Amino acid sequence: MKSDLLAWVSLLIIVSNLYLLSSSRLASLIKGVAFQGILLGALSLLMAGHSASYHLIFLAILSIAVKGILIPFYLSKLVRGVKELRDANPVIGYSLSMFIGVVISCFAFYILQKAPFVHAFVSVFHGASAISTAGIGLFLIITSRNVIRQIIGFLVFENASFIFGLSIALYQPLFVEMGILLDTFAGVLIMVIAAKRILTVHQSISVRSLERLSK
Amino acid sequence: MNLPEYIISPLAALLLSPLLAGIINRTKAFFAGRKGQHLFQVYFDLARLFRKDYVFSKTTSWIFRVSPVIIFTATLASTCFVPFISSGTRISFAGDLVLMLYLLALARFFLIISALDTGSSFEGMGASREAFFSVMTEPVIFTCLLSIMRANGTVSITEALSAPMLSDSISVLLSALPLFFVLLAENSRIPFDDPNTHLELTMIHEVMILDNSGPGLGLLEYAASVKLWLFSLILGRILLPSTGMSPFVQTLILLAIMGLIAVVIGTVESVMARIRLIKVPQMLFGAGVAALLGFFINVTKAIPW
Repeated sequence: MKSDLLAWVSLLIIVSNLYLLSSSRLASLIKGVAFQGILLGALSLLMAGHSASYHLIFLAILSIAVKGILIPFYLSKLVRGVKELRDANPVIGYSLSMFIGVVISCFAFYILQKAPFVHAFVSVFHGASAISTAGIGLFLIITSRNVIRQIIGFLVFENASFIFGLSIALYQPLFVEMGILLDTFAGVLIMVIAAKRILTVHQSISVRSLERLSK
Repeated sequence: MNLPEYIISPLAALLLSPLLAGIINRTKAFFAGRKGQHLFQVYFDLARLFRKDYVFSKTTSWIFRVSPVIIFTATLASTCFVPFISSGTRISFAGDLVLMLYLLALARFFLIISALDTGSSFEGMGASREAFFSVMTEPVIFTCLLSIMRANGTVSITEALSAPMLSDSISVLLSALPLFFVLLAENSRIPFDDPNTHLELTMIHEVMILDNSGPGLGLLEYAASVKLWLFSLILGRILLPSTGMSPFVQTLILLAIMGLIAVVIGTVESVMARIRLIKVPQMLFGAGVAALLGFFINVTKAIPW
């Protein structure tokens, strides 16, 4: 029953990835990534139920607080009210990128069959959601014209490493995970400040505008 | 109950399919705070249409006259492949899924050319939309039903749907949810098309039957309700819990699930507005994506947990 629930949460993570690929508004992208952060918390709570450890419960609370509430709140404060920051505006269209996202997820299920490290994961779904989240995070970064969407891609990629790490989280000290979370938060903080600078200098958040910097 | 399944299933569709539309209408009336029409109103409407006489436009040819019959029989024939009571003898062979869906495609083809045959540009527009939407829905149905067949380890849709259904809730969700979207799109229900409008530029199914009258119109309406019955039967079969029940109890539960599906359709129609035509492909694409994911999850399920 527990591992069934785990599979459901992992599937929801994959679905939230696809949602991120298909949403056209930055506000909904931020909501999606917040939802994913909460799902990560749920995932580690379920893992905690598996192994009855307070370590994982603390990690769950921490990840919900940082990834589900703090970072999305900070990002949406930046986006709110700025008209230039409404549309995600990716290089590849939404339907095609959603299709590529599904291909990545299917590939994740496929590669798990071949991989020698299957048993590191609690379930197939857990492993597949980690791999597909990593792939989709990179894809989000590559296809963005928009700095905020790149930050979200970075967050998604970081979430993937969190999911990977969950399977060994029991065997490493909590400080490692806390350090990673702090790094993520500091990273997003700096990125958002940089994005604000880009916006004030160029009146746009597009990566293209940075090309003009060479002169 | 020694009748073979391929007779029972179409018979059930004939007798009970207008009831589904009645349930949908009552649900919509409940949401609107109206008393609503009679539960059997669709039966009365059909009976009234069959008592009437034909009126044919001078532009139409024999295609227009023969189409309602072909559409109705093809739709009814496709119900043979979805078992209603799972105990009877069935026709099933490898790849019967293709025949079932192509019977529906045949019905759609004749609906489209009969609409074009009237020479009305309005109907041509509806026909073009119907053809376009079917391009989007057919891959989704194929993927959903293939993943069910795969999960049950068979190559026949009849066998797959009459076997005890999937115990794995993720596979059930990932094939049932896209199928529900397809059901709404294929039967011209609200997020995709409004079944009640008659004078709107965006309607699809209603515009194609605009020139039909009397028994021809009755057959088309009947075919539409049989098609709705077919899709909700497939969906009900997927959602049917797989415990060891007697066929009678199983059929009762199946009917209850189908009634529930009709209530859900009515609820969706009451709380949603029709989406813009441009959004339709995106929505169906999303359904297809979910179906594809479910299919691959089923394919790769060989790994031990």
